[in-house]
Amino acid sequence: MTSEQSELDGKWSDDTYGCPLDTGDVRRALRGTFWRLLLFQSSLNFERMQALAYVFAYSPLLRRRYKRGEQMARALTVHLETFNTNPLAAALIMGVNARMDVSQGGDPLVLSSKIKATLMSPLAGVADRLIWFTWLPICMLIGASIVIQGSFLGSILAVAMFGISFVVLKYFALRLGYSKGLAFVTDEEFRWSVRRAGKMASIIGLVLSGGLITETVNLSTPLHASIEHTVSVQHFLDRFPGILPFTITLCCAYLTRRQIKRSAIITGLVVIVFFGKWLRIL
Amino acid sequence: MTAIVGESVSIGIWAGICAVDLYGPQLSLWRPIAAGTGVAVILHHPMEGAMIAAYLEFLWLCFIDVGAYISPDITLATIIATAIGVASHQGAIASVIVVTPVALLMQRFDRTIRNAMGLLVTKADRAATEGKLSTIERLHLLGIPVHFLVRGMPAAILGYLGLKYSPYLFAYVPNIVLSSLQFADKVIPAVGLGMFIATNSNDELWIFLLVGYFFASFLHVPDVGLLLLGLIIAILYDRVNRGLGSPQPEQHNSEELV
Repeated sequence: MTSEQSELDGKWSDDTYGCPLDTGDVRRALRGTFWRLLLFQSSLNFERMQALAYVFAYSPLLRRRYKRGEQMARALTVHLETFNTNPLAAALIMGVNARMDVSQGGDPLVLSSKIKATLMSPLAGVADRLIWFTWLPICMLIGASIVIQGSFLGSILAVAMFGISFVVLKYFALRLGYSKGLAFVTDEEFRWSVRRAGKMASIIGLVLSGGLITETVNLSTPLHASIEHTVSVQHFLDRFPGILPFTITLCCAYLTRRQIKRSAIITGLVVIVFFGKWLRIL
Repeated sequence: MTAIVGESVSIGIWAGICAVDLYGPQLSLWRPIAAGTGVAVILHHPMEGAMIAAYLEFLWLCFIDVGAYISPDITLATIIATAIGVASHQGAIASVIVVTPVALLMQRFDRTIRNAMGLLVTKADRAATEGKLSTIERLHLLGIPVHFLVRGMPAAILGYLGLKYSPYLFAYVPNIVLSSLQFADKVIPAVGLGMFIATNSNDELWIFLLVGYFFASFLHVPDVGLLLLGLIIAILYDRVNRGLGSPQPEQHNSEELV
C-alpha cells in the first residue's frame, strides 16, 4: 500500500471526521436519488453511456454539497464522464460516492471518479449475471409456466415478483453503499456473499427449470413398434416421465453452450417438428 | 374499422409504456410475458394472448441488452406478434416468423437512436461548464418521450396493419405447415429452458437440474413447490459449503484506486 493511499484512506474514513452521517437533509437527498434511480436508462447513449443518468440520479446529493456555480460546474464536468454499469450496481456506487460527499472536507471529486471507474465494470459483471441472467429468468419462468398451465395470473405474478424485488434491491444497494462508504471497495465479505447469492440463485433456477421442463415442453410420439404384438413407444418411454422433453431441452442447452445461435436452434426445432409431423413420428 | 383503429392506438400506447419501463424502472413490463398479456387484454382475448406471450417468453428467455450490446427488439416483436396471433389464431411461432424482420429492423433503429442520443451529451457538456444542473436533468428526461414514441408509433401502425390483414397473412400457407407451427409452439419452451440451463449450470451445479426433473416428473411437485424445494436445497448447499470454505483472499482493487 502506498503512503499516498494510506493517507487518502485515512482522509476519507469517517472516524477521522466523525461527521453527522444520517442527518435529515442527507436522508432526503438519498431518497431523491433512489426515486431518480428508477429512471436510470432513459438517456442511454453510445457517446458516454449512462453519464447523464448518473448526474440525473445523483443530483439531489450534488445540490446538497455544491452551492456555487463554479463548484457545481467542476462537479458536473467530472461526473459527466463515461459511466456504464448495471442499474443495481449504479445504486451501490452512488451510495459509496454519497458517503464520501457527506464526509466533510477535502475534494471528493477525484476519488469519486476513480471509484466509479474501478467499481463499475466488476460490479456490472456480477449484477448482470445475478439479475438479468438468473433472477429475471426465474421470475419469468414461473409466470410463463403458470400461464401455460392455464392461469392468466401468471403474467401478473411474474411482473410483481421481479418488479418489486428489483426496486427493493436498488433501495438496499444504495443504503449499503452509503453505510459502507469507501470500505466497500475492499470489502471481501461482500464479494463472498454476492458469489454465494449468485450460486444459490443458480441452484434455485436449475431445480425450477429441471422441474418445469416436463410441465411446459409438450412432446410425445404416436409411434408403435410391432414385432410379435404392437407396443406403444410412448408407453415404454413413460417409464421415464417426460424423457423426450427433457432430452430435447438438454440438446438445446448443449447447442447454446456450443455457441449455436438461438435463431438456428429454433429453426432446427421447427424443421424437426415439421418432418416429425409429416412422417408421423411426433 | 374504428374498433381496429382504437385497438391499435391502445397497442401503441401500451408499447410506449413498455419502452419507458425498459429505459426506466425496468419492472419487467417490457418482457414478452407482460407486454404480450397487455395486448391480449386490449384485444379482449386475455387467455389466448397470454398463452402466446408465455410461449414468446420461453422463446426469448435470457434475451437481454447488456453493456453496449443491443439485442433484437423482443418487446415490439412480442406486441405485434401477440396482436397477429390473437387475430389469426395461428399461435406464437407462426406470428413470430411474420414479425422477425420488425425485431431486426428495430435493433438497427435502436442503435441509431443511441448514437443520436450522443447529442444530449454534447449539450450536457455545455450546461456543465455553466454549472446548470437542471438543464442536464431535463436533457436526461428528454429520453422518456423519445423512447415512448420510438416504440409506440411503429407498434400502433404495425398493430393496425397486423389486425387488418391478419385474415390474409396465412391464407396461402398449406395446412400441414400451419399445424406443424402450432405444434412447434408446444416444444418451444425447450429453447428458453435450454438457454437458461446453459447460462446457469456448470460442472458443479448441473446435478440440481436432475433434482428438479426427478421431483416434478416422478413425484409431481408443482411449480411453487419446486421454487421452495430449490430454495431449501440452495440454503443447505450454502450451509455445507460455508462450513468448508471461508472468504477467499482476493487481489482487491484498492491499489488501482489511488
